[in-house]
Amino acid sequence: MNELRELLRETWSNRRRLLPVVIGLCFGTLGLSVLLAFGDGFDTAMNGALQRSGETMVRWFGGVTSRPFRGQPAGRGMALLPDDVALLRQVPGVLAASLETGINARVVSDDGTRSANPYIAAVGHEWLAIRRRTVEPGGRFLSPLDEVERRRVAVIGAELAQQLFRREDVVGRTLRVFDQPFTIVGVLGIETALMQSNGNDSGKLFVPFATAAPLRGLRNPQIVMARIDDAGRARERETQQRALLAGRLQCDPADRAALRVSNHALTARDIRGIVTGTRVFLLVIGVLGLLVAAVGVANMTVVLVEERVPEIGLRMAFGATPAQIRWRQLAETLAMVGIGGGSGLLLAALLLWGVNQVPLDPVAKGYLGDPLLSVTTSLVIAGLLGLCGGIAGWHPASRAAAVQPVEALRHD
Amino acid sequence: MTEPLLSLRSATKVHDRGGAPVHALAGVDLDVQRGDYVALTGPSGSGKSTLMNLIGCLDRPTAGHCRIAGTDTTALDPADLAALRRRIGFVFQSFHLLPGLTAVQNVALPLRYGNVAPAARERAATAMLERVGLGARLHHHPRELSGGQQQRVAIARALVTTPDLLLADEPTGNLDSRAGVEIRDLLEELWREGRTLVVVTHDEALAARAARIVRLLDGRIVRIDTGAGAGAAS
Repeated sequence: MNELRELLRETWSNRRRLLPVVIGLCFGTLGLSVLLAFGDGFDTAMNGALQRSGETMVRWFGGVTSRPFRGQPAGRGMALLPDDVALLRQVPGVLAASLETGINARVVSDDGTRSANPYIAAVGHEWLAIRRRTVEPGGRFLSPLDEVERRRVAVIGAELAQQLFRREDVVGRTLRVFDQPFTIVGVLGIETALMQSNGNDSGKLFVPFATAAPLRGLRNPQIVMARIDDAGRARERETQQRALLAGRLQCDPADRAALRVSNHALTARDIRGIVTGTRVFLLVIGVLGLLVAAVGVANMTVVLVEERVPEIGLRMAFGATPAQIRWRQLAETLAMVGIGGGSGLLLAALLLWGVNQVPLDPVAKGYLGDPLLSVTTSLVIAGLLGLCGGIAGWHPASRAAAVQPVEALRHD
Repeated sequence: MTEPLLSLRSATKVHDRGGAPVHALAGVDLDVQRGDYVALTGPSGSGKSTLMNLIGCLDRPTAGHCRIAGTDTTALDPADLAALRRRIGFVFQSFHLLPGLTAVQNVALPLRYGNVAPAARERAATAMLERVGLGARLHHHPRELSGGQQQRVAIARALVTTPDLLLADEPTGNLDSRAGVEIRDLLEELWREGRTLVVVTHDEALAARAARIVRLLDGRIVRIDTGAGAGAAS
């Protein structure tokens, strides 16, 4: 403890000269910490957003054939059918399947005071499981019975609920859709999700396809979709599904214009690659900043050792061994790095706490995440600082240990 | 006859000056018994400081032997030399006090390398400063002390480990005449207490107080005189 006190006292006695280096280290650490924290937050947020986007979803769209197939000409329109959902369920690795179609239509609140023109998504009951979204507590999503019995029920997006009902206890209330009363059974929460189509899901109204189809003459779905078991086998699962759908549609499975696909697992992989690349970039920038600070530490330590040659000689005259001189010098460097780096970490934690207090739009927050300095990141930074201190301090410390006392005492 | 505390045999030190060998010491033989007070004198370049560096284990002879308390220093590794240096107290002409430390901290410094507990270090340093008459200046920094007081702090620091041998290199060289007298008196007091002193000096008044005055010229001992201390010692 006394050794540490003396170490700190001697560091303090050199404070004027060490201050620029310590400030450099502090800001280098601050920069690295903040960059890594934002990277972590961004990564976590993107993972969540990808998950809520139906990360293991394969969506199929009917197209137009681009080539003849088994005597049939090119240019045929491929219409998906509600029965294709059952077909998809037969494919190995399909955990859930649904269909989706939609239109923009006028909806009116039950008291007739408010109306909107949202996108109305007519979907199957497994849509929620495929998109990995959540319904707010107190409500539910569409059920198989809703489809079988063609119930006039709806799940409303949270933003649309706010628009029509000022967001108060909407479950159980009714609204008019296609001039028919629909009972709201659930509210889809506001969540950040990637790869949404026809606007944000929180602004939509979801009704059973089986109910909406006869009301609006919607015979065929625009999309059929499946949730697969393993993102790592996304290409294989896509090929299996394509083969089955192409067989039913009597088109060439290799004709990508006939059956258009959006394989979210593959897209998610690309997005993850970009996120990882961004994090690595941030890490490299941060580490470079820290390295610049470490070079400053090394230079300052060399200068200090040069200036202290007489003192080192004196300590040796009093019985200090070369090893004691080396470790003491190294400890001083590490103390300098510890003070600079520790204050940088502390500043970063305060700064990030402040950033997290700023009220942000929930969707923006969903992409940005919560940039917090995790224990792991702090330990990694502490390890990097220790490494920098060790590397920066070892050479000057060895020079100090190699000082010959007789030369050192003659030095001044 | 007891073994001398310090024994030099054919001690030679040759420096290389741009390829030309310079003999700083040329085969010096010297014995110093426990309780002895030896002054090394001679003109500049005579080899006094080189001899003191060999005695203090701050340097090694190019040839010959240097034995301190029965240990031949020529064969020791740096760690063992450091251990041996803990048995020697050094006083330098320019005091070599660390400016950032107080008097008591400066005096306690050598005890750090002797694995002495911090509280014991401070007690010993305080007692030693009181011994040299600086009990009222314990927490003063060197810049707050006069030259004579700084040299007293340096002497206290040299004595705090209770060394076998006290080596002083021009201890009055940077002092005014009054402070010089004080230091001369103090060294003599220490010797009378039974300590072994080897002093390098140009100060004939200081040398005259020693039991033996070893005169060097061109790296050799040319004469050994008896000082005033010889009578006192006997």
